[in-house]
This record gives sequence, C-alpha cells and structure tokens, in this order.
Amino acid sequence: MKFSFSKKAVIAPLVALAVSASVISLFLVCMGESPSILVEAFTSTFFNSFGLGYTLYYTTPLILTGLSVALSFHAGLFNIGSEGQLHLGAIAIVALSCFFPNLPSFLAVPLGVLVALIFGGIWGMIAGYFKAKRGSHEVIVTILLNFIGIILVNYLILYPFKNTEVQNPETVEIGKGYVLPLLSDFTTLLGSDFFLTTPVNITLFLSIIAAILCYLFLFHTSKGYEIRALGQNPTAAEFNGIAVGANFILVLTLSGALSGLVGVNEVMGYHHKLIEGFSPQYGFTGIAVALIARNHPLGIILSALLFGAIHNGAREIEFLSEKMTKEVSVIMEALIIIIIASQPYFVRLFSKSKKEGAK
Amino acid sequence: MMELLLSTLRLSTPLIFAAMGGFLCERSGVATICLEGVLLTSAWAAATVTYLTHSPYLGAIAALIVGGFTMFIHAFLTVKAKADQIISGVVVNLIAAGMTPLLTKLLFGSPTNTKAIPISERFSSTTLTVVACLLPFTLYALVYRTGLGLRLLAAGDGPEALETSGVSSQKVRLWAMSLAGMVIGLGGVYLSTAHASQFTRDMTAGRGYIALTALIFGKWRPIPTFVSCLFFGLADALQIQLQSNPIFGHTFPVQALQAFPYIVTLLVLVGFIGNAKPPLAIGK
Amino acid sequence: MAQTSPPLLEFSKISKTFGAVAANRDVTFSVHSSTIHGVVGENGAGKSTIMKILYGMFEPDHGVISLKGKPTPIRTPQEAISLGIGMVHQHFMLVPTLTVWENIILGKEPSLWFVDEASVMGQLENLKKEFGFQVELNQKVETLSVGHQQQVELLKLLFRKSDILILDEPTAVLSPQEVESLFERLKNLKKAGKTIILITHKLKEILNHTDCVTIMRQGTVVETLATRDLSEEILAEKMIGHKRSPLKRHEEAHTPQAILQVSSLTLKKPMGQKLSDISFEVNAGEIVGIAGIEGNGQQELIKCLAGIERHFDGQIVFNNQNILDVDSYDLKQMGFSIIPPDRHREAVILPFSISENAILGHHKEREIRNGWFLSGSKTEPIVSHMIQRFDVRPKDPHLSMVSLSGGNQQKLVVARETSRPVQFLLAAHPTRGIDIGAIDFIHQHFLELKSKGTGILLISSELDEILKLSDRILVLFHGRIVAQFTKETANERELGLSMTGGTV
Repeated sequence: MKFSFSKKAVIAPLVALAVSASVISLFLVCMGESPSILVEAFTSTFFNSFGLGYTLYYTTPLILTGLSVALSFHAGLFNIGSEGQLHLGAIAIVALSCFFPNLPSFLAVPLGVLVALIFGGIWGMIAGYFKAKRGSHEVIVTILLNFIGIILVNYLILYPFKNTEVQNPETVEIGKGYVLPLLSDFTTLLGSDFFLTTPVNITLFLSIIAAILCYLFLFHTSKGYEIRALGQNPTAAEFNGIAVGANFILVLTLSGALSGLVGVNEVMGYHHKLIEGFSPQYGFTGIAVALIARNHPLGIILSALLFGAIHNGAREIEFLSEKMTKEVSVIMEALIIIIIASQPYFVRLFSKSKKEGAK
Repeated sequence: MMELLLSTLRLSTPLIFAAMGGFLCERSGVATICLEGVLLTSAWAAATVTYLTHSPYLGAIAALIVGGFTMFIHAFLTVKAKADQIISGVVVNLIAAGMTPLLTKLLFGSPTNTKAIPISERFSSTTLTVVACLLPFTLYALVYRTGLGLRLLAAGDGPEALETSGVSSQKVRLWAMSLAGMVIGLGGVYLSTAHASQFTRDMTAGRGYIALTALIFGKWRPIPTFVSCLFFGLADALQIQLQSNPIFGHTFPVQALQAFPYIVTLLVLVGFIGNAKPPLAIGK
Repeated sequence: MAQTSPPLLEFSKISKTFGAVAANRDVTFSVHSSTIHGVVGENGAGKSTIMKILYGMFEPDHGVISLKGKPTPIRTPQEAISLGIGMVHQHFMLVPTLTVWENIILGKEPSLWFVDEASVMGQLENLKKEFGFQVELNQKVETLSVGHQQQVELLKLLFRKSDILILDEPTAVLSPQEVESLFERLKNLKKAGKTIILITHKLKEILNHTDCVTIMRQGTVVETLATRDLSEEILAEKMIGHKRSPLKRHEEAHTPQAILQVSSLTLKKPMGQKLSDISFEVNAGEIVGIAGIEGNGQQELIKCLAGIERHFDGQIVFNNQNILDVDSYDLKQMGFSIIPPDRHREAVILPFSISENAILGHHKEREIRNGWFLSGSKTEPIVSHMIQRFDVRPKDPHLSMVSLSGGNQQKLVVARETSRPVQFLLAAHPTRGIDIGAIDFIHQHFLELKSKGTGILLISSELDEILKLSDRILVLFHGRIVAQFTKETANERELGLSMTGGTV
C-alpha cells in the first residue's frame, strides 16, 4: 500500500475536527455557557508560548504511543497494551536511578532511555510470545497486561520506591544525572523566555526521531517489508519464507519499547519522579492518533500534535468552564475516531445521493 | 464457606450479564471489546434515573435503553459503517468513560459519583442474581433451538450463506447487538443500584474485560461461559477474603490481590485454551 | 423442444460495469421451461455476473429480465427466492458449523421460534427419497465431502420449492464419478419440471448434458444454440474467438537425477491422519503430476513441502538436503519455488503494488538493496523484465495488484517464482480461474522450464492439465498414493476410478 498525503487524508481529519468541535460547542450551549470558551481554549493551546509548550509536552507521549499502535497495526496486530507498557518503562527508570543514583549524565541518560525501552519492550514481548506460541489473541492479552502492569507499578510507587517524606502517592526523585534539559533551558541560553515554565523537553526530539526511524524501517527495509506483508496477508507471507511467529514477537517488542519511551518524557523530562496515575490514557489516545494518521509514522507527528492540543485545550476548558470536565477531550477524541472510522459509510451515502440527484 | 459461595454469586452476577451480552454479540459475528463501556453507561443510567425518579424500575428501564443504545453505536460503526470492530469497541469504551463523569458533574455537581440511593429504593440484588443464573439456560434455548437462533449463528459463522438464503445478516446483527446491550444493561442495574447504592466513576473496574475473557474461556458457549463467570467471581471473592484475613500471619499487599483475577485470567487464557475458535466471521 | 411456448426466462440487453470494466454488455438470451440450459465461456466472460444479476445480488445498469413474459425487477436474493429462483454458488454458501438440516431450512424456517425438529426431518427425508439424495441430515456440514455439500445446496433449493436452479461451475470440485451422478440427478429434476441453468467452462459437459447453450465472450453473448447442432471444435472456437494453437514440445534429453525425494511422509493431526506413508521423487527435467479430488491431502502435502507444516514424520530432501534443516526463506533462494494453490490468499498481497509483489520471497536479496535499505532503482529493472517477459498487463509496476485480472496476477506469480534459476517447482493449481490465453502461456512456460532441467511437481484437480503436461502421474486418495501411471499408461477412465479409491 502506498501511503501518501492525499487530499482525502488531510480533509477527513479536518472535517472530523470541525464536526466534533461543533458538537462540543452544542454541549456548552446546552449547559448555558458560551461556546467562545472553546475558541479561547484552543487559541491558547497554540498561540502563546505557555500554551504551545504544554501542547508539545502532551504531543511527545502521543507520538510514541501512536507509533506503538501503528507499528503493530502494520503487522496486522492490535496493541492495546500501550498503557501498561508505558507504565513499565517509566518505573524502570525510577528503579535504575534508585540503584545507581549518582551516575553522571553521559551514562545516566542513555541507560535511562535503554531501560525504558527494554521494560516497555518486555511487556510487549510477553503478548507477542503468547500470540506466536499459544495463538492467544493479542487484544485480550494486552488488555490483561495493562491491568497487571498498572497495578504492579502502583504497588512499586506506593511501597519500594515511595517518597516517604510526602503524603502523595509518588516515588523518590531520580538522580541529577538522569534529568533531561527542558526546551526552555535552550531558549534561556538564547536570551528568550519562550517556553519558560512549560514542561516540554528534548524527549520531543527523541520522539520525532523515533517517528522518522519507524518510517524508514517500515517502508525502506526488508524487515519492514516483511512486517507489512505479514499484516496484509499472513498466509501469503508464510508461503514466501516470512516467519510469522518470530515477526509477531519482534513487532510487539518494538511496539512495547516505543510505548516505554513515554516514561522518559514523564520521569526524566519533567516530573523527575513517578506519580500514581500519571498517564491520562496516553495509550488509548495513541489508537486515535494512529487511526487519524492512517498508521503513517510521519503523519503521526501531526495527528499527535492535534490530540496534544485537544488534551491541553480540554484542561483549559475545565478551568474556564464551570460545568465541563477535562473528559471533554476523551469525548472529542471519540467523536473524531467515530467520524474517521465511519468515513466510508458517509462517503457511500454521499456519492449515492449525488448519483441519484444526477439521474 | 456459605459466605464465600454467596459472595461468589454476588460478584459473578455482573460478569454473567456482561458475558451473556457478549455471547449474543460475538455469536452474531462482531467482536465486543466494548462490554466495559456498555456496562458503565447503563450503570450510570440506572443510578441516575433511580435517584431522580425514586423508582428502581424506571431506573432499570433507563439502563436497558441506554445499554441498548450504547451497543447500537458499536453496531452502527461495525455493521453499517464497516469500521474495524476493535477500534469501534475502544471508541465506545472511551465515550462511556468520558460521558459518564461529565454528565454526573452536570447533574450532581461532582464528576466522581452520583448521590446515594436510599436502601428502600434500591433494586433487589437477589432477584437479579437469580435472573443472571437463569439467563444462560434461556439463551441456550433461544440460540440453539429456535429459528431466530439459527439465523444468529449463521450470521456469525457464515454471513454469506445467510445472505444468499435471503436474510440480511446486517439486520440480524443489529437486532442481536441491541438485545445484547439490554442484557448487559441488567449488569449495570445490578452494579449501581443493587450491589452499590450509587454510580461512581469507572465503577465497572475492568469487569467488562473479565466477562470477555470468560466468554473466550467458555469457548463462546453459554453454559461453559456461565461456569467461567462463576470461576472469576470466585477468584474475586477469595481476593476480598484474603484482604481481611491474614494467612500465616501475613497480609498480602492489596495490589497483589487486585492483580490476582487478571493474572488468573491471563494464565487460563494462555495456558489452558490456547487456540480457541471464535465465530468464523468475527473481525470481518 | 417446445419452441412455440413463450420462454420462461428472458434477458434483454443487460449491461453491468464495475469501475471501468464492462462485465456484461447487452446480454440477451432466453431460457425455456424444463430444459437444461448451458452458459459457457472463459473465465471473465461474464457468466457469473449475469447469473448474479438474475439472483438479485447485482443490480444491472441497463436491461430487463422477464419471467414468463413479464418484466420482473429482481433487487435482492430474497426476491429471487420468492420468484422460485435458486442458485448453487461455485463456492458453496453453507454455514460449516451448522448441521445439514439447519443449513437447509436457513432463511425459510418453519417458525422463527421453536423449531419442530421431527416434522422438519420428516419433510426432508421425503425430499431426499423423491430425488435420490444420500446425505445424512444430522451431520455438521464441515465434516461432509464436497460432493455431499453440493447435495445440501440442491436440497436447500428444493426445500424452498425453487423452479429455476442456477448451478455455477458445479463440477469443478467433483470426481468424474460424482459428476456422473450429479447429471443423473439433474436429469431427474428436469423431468420433475425444473429448469436448470448450468454455468461451466467445460465443453464436454455442455455437449453431453444440455439442451441449449448460450456462448459468452468478453461480456457479450456470442450465440445461443441448440446443443445437438454443435461439436467441441465449433464450441471452443466460438468461445475463445480464434483457434487454439497446440503446445510446442521440446526434445526430451534428461538423465534421471533426483531433485526432490519424499520418503515415508506421514502427517498426523488431532482430527485424524492426513497423510500416510507418501514416497516419491521428482527428477530434473521431469513433470510429475499429482491427481486427486481436492481434500484428499493435497493441501497438507503442499504445506509440508513449503515448510509451513513442520511436524511430520518421514523426510523431504531437496538436493541432498533435508528441507527442515534450511530456513524456508533460504530454501527459496536455493531454487526451490512454489506456486501456491490459492492465488489471492497464498500467493499475492493484493493491496501491495505489482513491484512489491514481484520481490516477495526474495525481498532480502543484496541485489535489490542499498545497504540496509531496499532500493527502488535496483528493483525496477528486475520487475520490468518480469513484466515484459511474461506479458503482464497493464505494464505499470506501481499499480496495485488488485488492478490486474486473475490471469495477469498468476503470470506475475509464475514470473516471480521462475525468473531466478529454479531447480524444483511446486505448481499447485497453477491455472485455476484464469483465461485460456494465460493457461496456454503458463503451460508452454512449464515445458520450457522442464527442457532446461527444472523438476516440476504439478498438483491439480483438472485431469486434462495433468494428462497434458505430466511425465508421471501419482494419484492421491485419503492421504495416500494409491496409484501410479506413466504418460503412456495413463487414461482418463482409470485415473478417475483410482481418484475415488476404486481399483483398476
């Protein structure tokens, strides 16, 4: 399949965005509030340094989970386990720092990234292994692994790695060497205050690099070719010397590793510790991100930006509105997915009525 | 011992409703990741309407309607729009997780829970548990002994054959899924107005997924699915007992016990059934 | 034939296009009551399309169908069924997990609520007796042989009291003996007043069993004739539009040297023994045919040879190497090629482009890579050479595989599998569902490969194909090789007999 940025690929998300924004405005009106809140919220997510900083901060994990879902999709697999995998990746960094708190940056940073990759990857690999060896459906297995992973991580946050000096459910702080620079650190060097006090950090670039690597891997290497072939037609792939099981394990491992990187953004990039419930369902939003981008790794950068903005905007709406909660972002996401997913139906309906009109 | 048995039955009831709804839906050829979401919206509807009207029966009717409607969204997306069944299921779960706190805040001021329903206005949990235990046998008779059931099975295992016999498999699926939504709705009624006295945010807590696994473990047959729901109910009941009774002087950390049903489910799934055969048309 | 009465069924000027392809153009012919009416043509001639229009599965762009002289629009299969039209599709439309009787009553259940099994059974037993069917009503359809499944399809139509029975390629999967009894049955049905429309590409069936025949070519009707005026040559010429040129044979000059040796191959599955004690060899420059009715172990044998099924007893040795010791990708690079039986499911990846399909199975080779990356510029000349050499149309390698006809897709598959030096070729149903031009091209290519020393194992359910190409023929029945013939000793009758387990 050739993925290109055709007109349709751009128009559909825009229509979806417009429709879902209208629905939310309607909601606001019904609640007796002004829909201008929506406009206000969304301009603030892009058009000032503070809002943009937060939008980009939310974009970072969504690029990663979007890639995680998309990669498995190309192999015909559905990785719903991103949420669990990113928890594992995050706690791995905390654990590493607890064992080696005083590592210098040049060791701590790559090792931190590596353990996030490895532990996220292991959580994905388990699903891949069961899929390959026992034929268990990856959707169910990854859902269960989500529950188990999150409970496990919450336990680790509350007991072994707990910061006993505070009441909140959070871990001790990681060592200084693990801390990644914020983008505002760079702008300050240049004498500007852009991005100041926002959490966007260099993990953003890491995730963009990951997207580019995923693109090259999927569309320009033999292994990527094998994976896409497997996803489109596993039987034909098998008849042509492509190992099904081994590739399933590989893909889900890589997919888990990408989700694991979310931990880098959260722990090394901003909070410098792990807080219970830190992920506002980045994993599930990743499904929407991948869907809108039609699983194209580069498109995912853009669709993650869109969802990052929605997420940031929803927080803004909660702040501005008396009655709306931040769940408005979930509803907006859901509406966008529904519109994109049912696009063939509406296209059919539309072309039919046009045809009949012509007669 | 008796206590454990009763507790097992109580904890199995919502699983049975959800799994039986899943049975109808998956047998008609559509995957149902969305059991969780349907359970959640119907639980919300039951609690809210019961609180507002002071009638558990109106609350139950509202839950059936809302459950049926939530499932209908899934049905529309998968059957009419031919969207991916898993994606559609995830969306329904997202909508449920987003809409329920939003509407709760709108009506009750706080997104976390609805107001408590007085005990006199709650639904009888015994009645619902009895219904849940009879349901699998009723559905068995309906699906395996009637003409309608024959069409349902054909929609799941050979939709093309059904179509060429002059019956629309789309219609069969829409009906089956709407009915499934209502069955799951009963589970929602149980959760928020019989088992508890109010709706709380994310109160389903993964029961929809466990019900789905029970369905797979029961190989998409109503009676074995019923039995596996009881099994998962037992796992949950044991978990609660272990929380309050230390064994060998140790209390387990609560997280270990929380994870227990999921770990059991996972082991059961990968260890004992391996390659179970779903209805042939699922996912297409 | 009573030509004076008005025809039962009339197609007038029916047209139907799919995208840019005209599947039917101005199709006009009529069918008379109580006859067996053949519709014959090559694959892609539009036979199935016109019948699906009659059965309400497609809506025609133009044209009218008249039933008993009255124009009758048929919009859904349901309407067709209520008008007494029934169809047995080429791929049977049965629910495998349901029993025979459940399949028969599906869509016309005596009650939507509880079904009185005893009365249904009684009714069906009578129907069975009346028309001489043998199928067991309580068995699950997935356990039945294809022949019996076809009986279920016919019973389904009779249960619904259909008067017009459409049969789409009904003999494609049957043994010669089963074919005979099918036509016996069809004659009885005709005597009972039913009208039968038989779609086929097999000329002998038309000549032996029909009263009338409509010949189609490229979406149009060439002619409708009474069968008794026809001979096989005339029919063939009208069907393909020109005379067919015979295959060019090459000099035989092979010294027997075994390329592939299969010894005591046995495959046990939970559902029972699938292959037992199969031994044979294929020599360089030899075509070995495996005849047999589908479902007698062909699929399992293919999977063992392709290295997909690896848990078998016995040995498969290719060029003195046990194939289980070699990675199946590497095996392909060593000259072990496979044309899988089911083109769309097993041989090509439809959403991929032609050029992406052309490298499948050789996608790791250095010659198409630049370091880590696949190179478009290195792939292009290889693919365009394949397209030129095998005359694949359209010639644009960037088009999606879906845009090719079956024949052209298959030519690309054959090109991919044989463009590199090939020592052994497993060709399973290599010409199924493609037009005569492509069939001849592929057969000619096989003979060429053979003359260059390739050993070919040809697995096919088309006896004509086996007889035309093979040097030796093995017969597979119930997972065993039950008979062997050489080119000289083989004949259709004896082969057919041993295919059903009979002894010669």
